[in-house]
Amino acid sequence: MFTFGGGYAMVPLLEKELIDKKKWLTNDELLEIMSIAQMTPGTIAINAATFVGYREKGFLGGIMTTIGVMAPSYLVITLIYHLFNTSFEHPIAQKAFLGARACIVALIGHSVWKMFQGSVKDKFSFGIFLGACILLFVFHIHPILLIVLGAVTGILLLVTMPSKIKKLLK
Amino acid sequence: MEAFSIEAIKVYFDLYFTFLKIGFFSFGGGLAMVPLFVVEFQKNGWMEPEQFYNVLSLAQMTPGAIAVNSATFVGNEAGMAVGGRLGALIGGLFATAGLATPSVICIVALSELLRKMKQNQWKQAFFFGIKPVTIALIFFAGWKIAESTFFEESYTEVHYGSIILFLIVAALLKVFDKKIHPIALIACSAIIGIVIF
Repeated sequence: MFTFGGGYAMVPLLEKELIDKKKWLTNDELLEIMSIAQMTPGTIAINAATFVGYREKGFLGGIMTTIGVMAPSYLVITLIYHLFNTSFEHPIAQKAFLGARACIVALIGHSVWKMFQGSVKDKFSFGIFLGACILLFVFHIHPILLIVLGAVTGILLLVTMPSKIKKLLK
Repeated sequence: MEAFSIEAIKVYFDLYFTFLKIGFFSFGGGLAMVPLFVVEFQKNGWMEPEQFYNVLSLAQMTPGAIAVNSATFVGNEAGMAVGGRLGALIGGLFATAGLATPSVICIVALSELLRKMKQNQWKQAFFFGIKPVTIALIFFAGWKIAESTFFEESYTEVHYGSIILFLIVAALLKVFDKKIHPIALIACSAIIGIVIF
């Protein structure tokens, strides 16, 4: 219900609900789920929800979490459609969204920092992170290409330096 | 009833299968789907590109994933044309369900595969390479939201109020971390936005 600005904005909420409260996942597992969600066809938020539900409670769990993550969108948008039709540029709504987005930037930043601390612990991971940031911010590389490059780098590292990398895998 | 006429039912299934197709062929989340949306909607006569860009900005502002929001809206619009208000509700439902179907199929298959290769070192190396990339992508997504919040479109104007609000929330998170719920923070920030901005 409270995710503005697409699938990645959901990370802080997933962290709170699934790691802090329900204790279904660790930080590193959530990162793995987000990695899977973004490279599988479909939207990231639905993929992540389906994955968590399926892992914890089987097929029915997957269906339930999927419905759970989509229901608010369906309700809110349908309501807006029928009440306001296309015009949703009301100044008060705009101000509320601006405030909410400022908060979300801080929340995402906080999540990124926690994930970084939890999963980027060696110089190889740090190198991959830094390279990915440069390719994204400076060269605007397509995310899918970046993900493929990351996977290839991981496997190449294992091939070229098996003894060093094996110690870091888990 | 017109909402259950043959013509209307045909549109509902068109919506379902169009979004199913879009879902299967889009990697990398909601925004990656936008070009496919534009082509399909025009082809089906559901929405012109300009109209869809308005929907997209609405979808980005409202809670929920962008693609789901867009699908619901377009489903409503297409359903409305053939079946009135009830048709709109059904159209939205079919479009949204179509979008979710590929996720369920792919994720279920993939989790089985991952479970079988739990201790496989190639799988582990694969994730070793991808995890830092995922963090970078989330960082980038955060930066994109920051850009659209802190600056006007052409960087000519800086919105100081939102930067100050951002700094306050960041400080609160740093100090209290697990004690405050993100939803409470978002709700308070929205109210502050209405009162002050």
